Amino acid sequence: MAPSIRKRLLVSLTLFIILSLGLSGYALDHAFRHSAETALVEKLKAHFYSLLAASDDDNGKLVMPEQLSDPLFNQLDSGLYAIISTAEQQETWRSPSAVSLNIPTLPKTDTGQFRLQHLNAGGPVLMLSYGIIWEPEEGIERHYQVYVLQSTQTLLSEIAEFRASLWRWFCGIAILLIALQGIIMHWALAPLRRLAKEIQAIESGQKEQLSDRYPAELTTVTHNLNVLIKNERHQRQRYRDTLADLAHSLKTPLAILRGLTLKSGNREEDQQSLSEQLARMDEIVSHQLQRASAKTGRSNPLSIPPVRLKPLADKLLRTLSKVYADKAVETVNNIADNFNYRADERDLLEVLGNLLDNAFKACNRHVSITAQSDQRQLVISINDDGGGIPEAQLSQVLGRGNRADTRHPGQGLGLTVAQDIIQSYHGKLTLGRSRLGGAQVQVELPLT
Amino acid sequence: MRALIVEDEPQLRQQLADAISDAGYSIDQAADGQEGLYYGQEYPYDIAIIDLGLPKLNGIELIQRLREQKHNYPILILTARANWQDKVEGLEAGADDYLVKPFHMEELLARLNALIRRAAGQANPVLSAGYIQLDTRTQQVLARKQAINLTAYEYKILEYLMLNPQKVVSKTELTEHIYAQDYDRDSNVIEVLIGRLRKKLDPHNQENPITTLRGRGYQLSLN
Repeated sequence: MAPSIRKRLLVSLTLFIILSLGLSGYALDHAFRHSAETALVEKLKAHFYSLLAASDDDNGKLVMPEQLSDPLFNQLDSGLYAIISTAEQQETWRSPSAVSLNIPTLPKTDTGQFRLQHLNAGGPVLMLSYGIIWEPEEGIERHYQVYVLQSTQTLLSEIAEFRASLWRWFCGIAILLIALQGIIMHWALAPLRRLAKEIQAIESGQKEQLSDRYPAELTTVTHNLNVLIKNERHQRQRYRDTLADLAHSLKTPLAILRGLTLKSGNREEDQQSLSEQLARMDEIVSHQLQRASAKTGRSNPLSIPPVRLKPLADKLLRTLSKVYADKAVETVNNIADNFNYRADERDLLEVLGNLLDNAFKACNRHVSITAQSDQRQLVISINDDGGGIPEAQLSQVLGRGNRADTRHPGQGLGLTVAQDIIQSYHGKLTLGRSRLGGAQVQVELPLT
Repeated sequence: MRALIVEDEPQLRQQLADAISDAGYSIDQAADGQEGLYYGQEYPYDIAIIDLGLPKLNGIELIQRLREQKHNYPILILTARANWQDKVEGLEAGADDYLVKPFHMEELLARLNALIRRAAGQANPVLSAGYIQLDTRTQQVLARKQAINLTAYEYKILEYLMLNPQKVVSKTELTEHIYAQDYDRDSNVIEVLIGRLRKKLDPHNQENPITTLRGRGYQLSLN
């Protein structure tokens, strides 16, 4: 199965949030670091100029005062250091703060050039070096290298702190956004969920049509679905009507022919064979019509409205009690009020009508109908207190036109017609012995 | 017994008419629902045979209309559609039994007989009153276990009286149930038939099985 829309959106939007937050975090981090470093470099330059301002000349050599104006230069290990060396890397002066500073090698810098370098001198430092030419009024000019160093410990920890706080915020925002996205998606996909639910309700028979309360993007789908369901129903109806009309137009001529066989003064054998052939034709018509309509069975369960079973059975029991009034049959309808089944009402009438008719024919006094259902299937059982079906005949009885009991008039097709229809719904018909003493017929119909 | 046949197919209608009148019924025929409704409202039938697929007014509506107007005689429906939907619809509309086309005439006649008896509250096909037995299936009449020869009309009168025991049946009612609608009601043929029936059932004037109530009608007075 393809991943759900929800999953697709959730995964892609989460990736998008993480990626965009990560990139902007990286950019912010980078910008912060850059501006902090630039500020530090500017500070070092300022220190450099103040050192130059404080320098003095002693016989053509550059000398520095003992105390500098910036107290950080005077305090041991303050983090701000200055060193001056000759062009040959011969150190000539160190600020008091740098007395214990351990610098591996001092780089040489071209005159008039600033040079920046990250070093490790008992801790991370940033070193600004500059080459100068010391030119007293008289005497020869000398080259010096001036180094200003600043410990970056504080800067680095500031950056680390900024970074930690930045990512804390971003994680919080990411979680918030992902949660928000989940909520938005839940809300945005609600119509789809409702659609699925409604279709399910149509399938299970609680609804006949989709409602029209859908967002514009879905209305085309729901509208078309409704039209489809309706058309299917109409088509089925038309099909049935056509079949019924065909039955009508064939059966009346058959009835006339049957009447004629009695009157035409034919020989008895001719009459016999004529009426046999007529009976066969009639059976063929009935059978094929039944099959054709049974085939429409469960072709599209959505287009079949559900049928409530109890009133349907009541109707049949009432009808049959009238037909078999002479027998004064006592009927019991034990089907629960809320039982319904998604099938063509006529199919159910046909199945239960034929089976109940058989029960009425066979019974002495009592006929009962009950139904049970579980997750998978609906089981309807019809019981009577008649003679029952002998074990030996149980398998034969379901054959076309076979009858276990020839006492009653009729075509003997009832049971097979019922079976055909039940099979078209992928159900099962079983015969057995009833607790009432007669036959029990069970109809199992699948619910899914 | 008087029967109404409502069937639109002329040949089938004629066959029904022939078979049913051969069985001793007087009959009226209607070719569509409207005509059927007219007859059904106008005359007191003992039974009606109605096809479901009728022009002008369909069988179901016809039955409903008749029942609404309290015409309570039994109705047998004929249907080409053998499905239960139609049977249930017809019976719920007020019919009492159905027969699917094509059918055997014997089956139809047996159903008519049973319906008429049932409507009269007589479940047994053999009606009996005192020493008289009448078998509605064979149309044979026994008085003190001796077979009695009755003409068709004598039989019709006796059957009607036996289906309505103890009831005072007027001459008009008898005429209407025994003859078709074009019969001349003023004639004294009913009196003549009753007289002949009395002689056959009670040749020695001992039992007086049929009482005449002056100005009111006749009553089968045996139990």
